[in-house]
Amino acid sequence: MAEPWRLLDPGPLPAWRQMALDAVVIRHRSEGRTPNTLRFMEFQPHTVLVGYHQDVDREVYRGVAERLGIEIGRRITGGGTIYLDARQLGWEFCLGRDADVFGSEPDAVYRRLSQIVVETLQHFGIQARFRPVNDVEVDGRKISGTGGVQWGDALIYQGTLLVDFDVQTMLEVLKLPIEKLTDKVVQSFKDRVVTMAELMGEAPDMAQVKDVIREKTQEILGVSLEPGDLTAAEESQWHYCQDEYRAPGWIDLRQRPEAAFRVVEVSHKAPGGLLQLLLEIDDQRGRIQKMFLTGDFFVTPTRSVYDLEALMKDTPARLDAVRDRLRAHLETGPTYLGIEETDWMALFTRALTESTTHHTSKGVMS
Amino acid sequence: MHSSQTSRWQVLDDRAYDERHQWILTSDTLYTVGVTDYTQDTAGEILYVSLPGPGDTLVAGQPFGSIESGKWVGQLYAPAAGTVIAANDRLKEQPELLNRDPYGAGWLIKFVADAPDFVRDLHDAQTYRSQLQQLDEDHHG
Repeated sequence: MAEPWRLLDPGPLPAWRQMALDAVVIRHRSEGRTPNTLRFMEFQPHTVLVGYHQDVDREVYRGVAERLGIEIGRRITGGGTIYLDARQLGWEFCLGRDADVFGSEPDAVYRRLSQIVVETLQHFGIQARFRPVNDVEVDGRKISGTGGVQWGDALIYQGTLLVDFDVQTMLEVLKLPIEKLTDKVVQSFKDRVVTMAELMGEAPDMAQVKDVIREKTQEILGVSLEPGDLTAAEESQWHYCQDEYRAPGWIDLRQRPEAAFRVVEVSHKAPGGLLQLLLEIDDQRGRIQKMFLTGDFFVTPTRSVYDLEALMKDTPARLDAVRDRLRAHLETGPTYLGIEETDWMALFTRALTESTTHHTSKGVMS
Repeated sequence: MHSSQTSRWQVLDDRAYDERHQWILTSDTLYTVGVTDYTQDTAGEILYVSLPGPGDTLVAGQPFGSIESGKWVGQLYAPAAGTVIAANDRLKEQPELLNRDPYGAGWLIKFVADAPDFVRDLHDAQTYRSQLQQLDEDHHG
């Protein structure tokens, strides 16, 4: 008989109540006082959520968020900043470490649980695939991002599925390494994400998406998902602790010096065309934080640019490390017409030795 | 310093180990805590480390800090009740030290314990090595 798991679907909630629920459920699961759980998460009002170790002021325009009525929250899970409104579906597995559906290594967990998203999309005629570290993408365009946390003897693995998405608002409220929000820039970001609505012609019914996720979870993991409620203890702790997750002490838990970050913008004219590169560099950690590549050149498949951007995220801001990742990318077989490794390295050399810095004035997505 | 690598992961003989794959090195009444080679290896590239400050209180078995790799947040657990004396500030700027040198430059905190008897519950290197061997065999079927 299939192992019974709990299905929670509390409906739309403010992000701070959702985050509090994460903390409550994982603690109870760690103590063995509640079953393995799949929870659907819908957010109302719309919200920006930074990752556990991120600094809000590095990621979000607070004034814009306030003007647009967008709440700001902090997740207990890792990863980057996301913008959420009623058109994305959050899903979350909270499992005991002894759950026999996965091995003990994070990569294995990601792949197994991401397969549920991949097969759900397949049900709707969308061919998606897992992209390391932990996204699900369609032709290189991100459709589901994920993050996780381990607490005691339990873990949470959660993600969002872009049923539909408001790129424009995301671009307004999130700080991205872009200088001006031109039509071209908006289009460029639209090219990097994709929604079910775009691929299907219209947004599918949210209830139907949930049904398919439930069905695929049962099929892939061999478990039985039974709709349930919070236990009385969970309910009580949730009620008691939820305000903590909208208090400044939590929202601004991480604050990093402004000087630690800089954005450099460089270009290089290769025989095949112009490469324009924006890098956000975290000097405190010595890492490339974000990369945004545009320009006038021919590449096939188009997704290669997005793959390269994903690969460079969090790379040490050193030429040897950049060269290693660049070579790994080029070995996957993309064709950049008239652009050689020497062109790439000239571009990155300029970026990493650039002394002129400017901070982001406009921005969005992680 | 004697060390051994009977499994994929290095274990040092000069210290003790807890259930959370952390090492504890005793020096008189001061205890230094770090993560083991197994932790850094299975976590992958560690991008963020968050630690308490001197004077902060440790609650036995409860998280005192966190690490993040691959969008995955893992907790660091207090091996005993006590008070933090020092935290490794270098990790803020160089979290990669945890990957590069988990038993040395990648140490996390130094603390004094409310009571030293917690040490009795820790594993010695040989016992921990056996646990890792078992994990290694499990992973490779």
